[in-house]
Amino acid sequence: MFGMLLSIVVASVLGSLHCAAMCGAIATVVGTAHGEGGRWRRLLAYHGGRGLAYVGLGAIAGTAGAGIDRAALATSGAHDVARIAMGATLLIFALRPLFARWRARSGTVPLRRGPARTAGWLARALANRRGPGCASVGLLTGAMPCGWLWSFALAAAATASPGTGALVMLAFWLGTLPSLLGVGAIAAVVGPRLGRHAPTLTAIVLVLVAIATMAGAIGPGAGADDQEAPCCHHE
Amino acid sequence: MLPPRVSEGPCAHCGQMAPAGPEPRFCCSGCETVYHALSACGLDGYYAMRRELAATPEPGATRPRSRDHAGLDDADRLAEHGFSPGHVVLRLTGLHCAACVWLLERLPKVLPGVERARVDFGKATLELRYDPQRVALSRIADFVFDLGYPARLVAAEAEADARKRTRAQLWRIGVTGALAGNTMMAAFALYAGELSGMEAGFERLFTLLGLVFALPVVTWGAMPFYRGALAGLRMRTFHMDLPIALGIIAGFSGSLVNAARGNGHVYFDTVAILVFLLLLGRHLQTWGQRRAQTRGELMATLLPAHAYRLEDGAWVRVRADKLAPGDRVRVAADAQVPADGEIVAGAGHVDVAILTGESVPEAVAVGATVFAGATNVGGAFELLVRKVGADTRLGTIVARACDDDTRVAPIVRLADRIAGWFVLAVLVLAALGGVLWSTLDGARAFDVVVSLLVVSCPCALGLATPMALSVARGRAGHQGLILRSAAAIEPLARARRIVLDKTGTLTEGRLRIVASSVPASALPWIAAMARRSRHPIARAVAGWADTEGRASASVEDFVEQAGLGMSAMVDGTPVRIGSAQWIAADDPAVARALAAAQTPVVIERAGVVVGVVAVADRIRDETPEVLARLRRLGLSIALRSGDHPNVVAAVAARLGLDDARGGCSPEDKAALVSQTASIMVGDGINDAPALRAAAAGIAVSGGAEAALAVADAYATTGDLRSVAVLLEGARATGRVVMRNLGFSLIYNVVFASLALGGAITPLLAAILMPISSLTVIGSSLVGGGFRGPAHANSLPSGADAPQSFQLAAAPPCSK
Repeated sequence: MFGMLLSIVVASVLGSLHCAAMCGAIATVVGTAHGEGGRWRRLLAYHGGRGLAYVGLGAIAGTAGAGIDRAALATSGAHDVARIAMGATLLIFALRPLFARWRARSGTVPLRRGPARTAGWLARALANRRGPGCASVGLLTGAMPCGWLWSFALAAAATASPGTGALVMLAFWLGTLPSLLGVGAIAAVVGPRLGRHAPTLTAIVLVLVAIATMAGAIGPGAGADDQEAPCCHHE
Repeated sequence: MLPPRVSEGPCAHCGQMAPAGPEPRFCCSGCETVYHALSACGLDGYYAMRRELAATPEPGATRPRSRDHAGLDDADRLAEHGFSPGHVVLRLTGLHCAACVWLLERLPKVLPGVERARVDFGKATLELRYDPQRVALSRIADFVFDLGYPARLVAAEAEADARKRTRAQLWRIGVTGALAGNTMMAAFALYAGELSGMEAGFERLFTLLGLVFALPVVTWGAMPFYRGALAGLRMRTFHMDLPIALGIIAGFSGSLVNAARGNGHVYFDTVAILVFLLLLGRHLQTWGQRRAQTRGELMATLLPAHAYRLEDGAWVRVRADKLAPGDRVRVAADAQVPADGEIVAGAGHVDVAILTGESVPEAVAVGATVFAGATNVGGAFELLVRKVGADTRLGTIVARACDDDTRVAPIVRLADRIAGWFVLAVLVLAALGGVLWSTLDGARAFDVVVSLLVVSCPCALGLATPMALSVARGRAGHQGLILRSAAAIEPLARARRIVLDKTGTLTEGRLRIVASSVPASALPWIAAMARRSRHPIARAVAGWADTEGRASASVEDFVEQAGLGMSAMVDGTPVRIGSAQWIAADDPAVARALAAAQTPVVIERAGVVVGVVAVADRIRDETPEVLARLRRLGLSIALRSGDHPNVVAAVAARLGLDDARGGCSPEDKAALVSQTASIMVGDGINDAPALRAAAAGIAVSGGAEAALAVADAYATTGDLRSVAVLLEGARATGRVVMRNLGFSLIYNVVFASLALGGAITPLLAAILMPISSLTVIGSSLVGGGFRGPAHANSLPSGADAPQSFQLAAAPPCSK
């Protein structure tokens, strides 16, 4: 279990240039706003809210995955359907940006209603730059139409367990912290060099996560023999 | 393979490339959401601030030039190397297989402003045509550098780069091999432990050791494959390295997960050995390919191999490719001129037939400019070298010939397309196979995926055709055949009908007067008038009349009627010399000449026929043999000539040709060959329209300059046997192409199936993969046509050269 979580953190760190590019602006605004309260308090509220949202998302995804598995077992007797289905979806997700054609098509559509609403909420939350505002900005991040975030939600669903799903998302959140806390440094130093490769890097990491998911390396059974692993699984 | 995204730009939010669309553009909905959120609460100043900080520079123009390519934008520096902004040739390092060529030639699709990119694998050069207003050369060089190919302007720098690179490559292979060996040692210990039992602590230790040894192999050792795969993705194509890179990553990360979990199999040894074998295979492949490609050095076959250069007051024999501008070289009688230059001492007669088709040697003396490839047929002279190698006039002719836009043969394009889709199919198969096997037998899923990804590298598929074609082209060069493009081999191999010209093709093209009813008193004025024309028949008549009579006459109002003859006022009297169709004559000599396959020329003065001369052209000694060889190839042979139908019929009867027609204008011939998709064999000048219209044109005379402008192939030897050699060679090459393609397709299908079925281990896959490419290279080198004694540097001297015609008019035509 520990090994599995560690690999999720590593994958998340590797691909988090993406986060710096997308949410870096928000993190910067939260960190530099002339609102009330200290800078660290606001950052804590933002990242805490984000973490809460992610963990919740992981638990919901894990429950959904368990539901899929149970339904599949009941209807066709198939095992581990969530794991394989989520892995395959992840793979498609990972390879999608590499297909220019599909990307071109998805990029030209006007902002859809869901994201538009999220944008509205985000704007309102950002306008109130106090601690609670920053926390709600963090919570709303969980509703972002971010492929990277939802990929890990898929991995969490593949675990077919609410607890493990939440842990997967916690590990993901941990992995995003360095890049979002060090947005300035990343933008100035790493960005120009690696920024161009970010989509490819992200895709590669996602492929790895997809493979690990399909192979059963991510999930309640992963690292079953690990001595340190908490005994929260049932075979 | 994937279409380029047009008019794309940076994402308004994150600066990544975003698809085309109205401003502001976004790469994804996430960015769009954040952008709108920030704008809605008046925080869009963030973007202005970011631009000022240049935190996320826009891709392209503003990116700092870090790799000392800035000098490339200096027009003076380009001029020093003989280039001008807009068209340069860069020397590359790091080209290792057909895929690199394929990748680099896609530059125009991804870099706006680049109009054309051509890679010469043998010379490791990249020829670029670009618009300097839209893209700086340094930017292109940066891009090419990022793809993994350092580019230089100067050969010496590039050579140093290449040496460094080869050394680095060997280092990489060596270090990877050593590390892989150690990984295996650790693995042996583990295997032994599995058999005889091992303490858990030791098992952990050896697993960890394996990881420590394998880590540099997978990261640093396998870097070339990652770079290739990434470069492909950046060019929006599936590079052949992609499956390999994924295979390595999958194998390694699978092992990593298993090691972390503490159960399941660990593959560190397999992955490490796999990388080592792949590197070794790639090295061998590059070596084999270079060996094959150097044969394609066309210039070497047209220029002398050695030259005598003045060094410290003595003439030293040096290799001709070592000459440099400013050298002083000596050209002895019957030697070929090695470089373009100016005569500084001595005098001679040079035959420039290979360049211009002009067969009469030209007298040259001090101050005259002579060109590489010409033959000095008399005298000796010293030359101050001005231009060498590819910069010479001959070099530019060959370069222009090779520069054909149709260079990429349709079959090569097809193979490229197949290879691109093939990679995609392999990726999909691997994903599906992985899913399938993880449900069947999870322990073996990684083995299956890794083997499949590695074994089905389509390198062999991509190599199959270009390899065979370029080897054939190189070999043809050694046989004295210049092919304008390797792509020409395809129609040559495919055509079923061949149309031959008569004069200068089936016959020697050297016309002689064999009978005459002209009184001796007429010879002086006939000679005077015939000398004014450069038509081959007129020249024959002039030559004959000149030897018989010496005096001359005044010629005024000289007019040539294309295909008919000439008229003028000679000493105040109207005179016509021309074909029997033009000047009606009852002379029995006309009928006699036609019956004997000779061309009658009627001479008329003041409206009265003075006499008839019969002009004959000898059939080449090799013609019957060549026709027999062409028939053996199953070709239907046709003879089309502008000569008198009776003459053509007589020649056809003697050669046993059923399909023969005379009195054809050049346009008639062109219409005929284009209708029937035939091969046309003729003279580069007089048959130009037909050579151009044909499915494939072969010029056997007329000089390289003119011939290669219209024909697909030019026989520098002027020997008709070249035509048979060329067609036989093209057929054989076609067979090699099909064999190579068939082999690589069968190889890939069979081994991909075996891998998917779990019958191949990753290690075996790593051994099989380079073997398939090497098999294709070997098959191209061993098989194919154009075998036989090399014809290099044995060019015809003036005396042996085929007679070539200077006039655009056809031989006398009778409709």
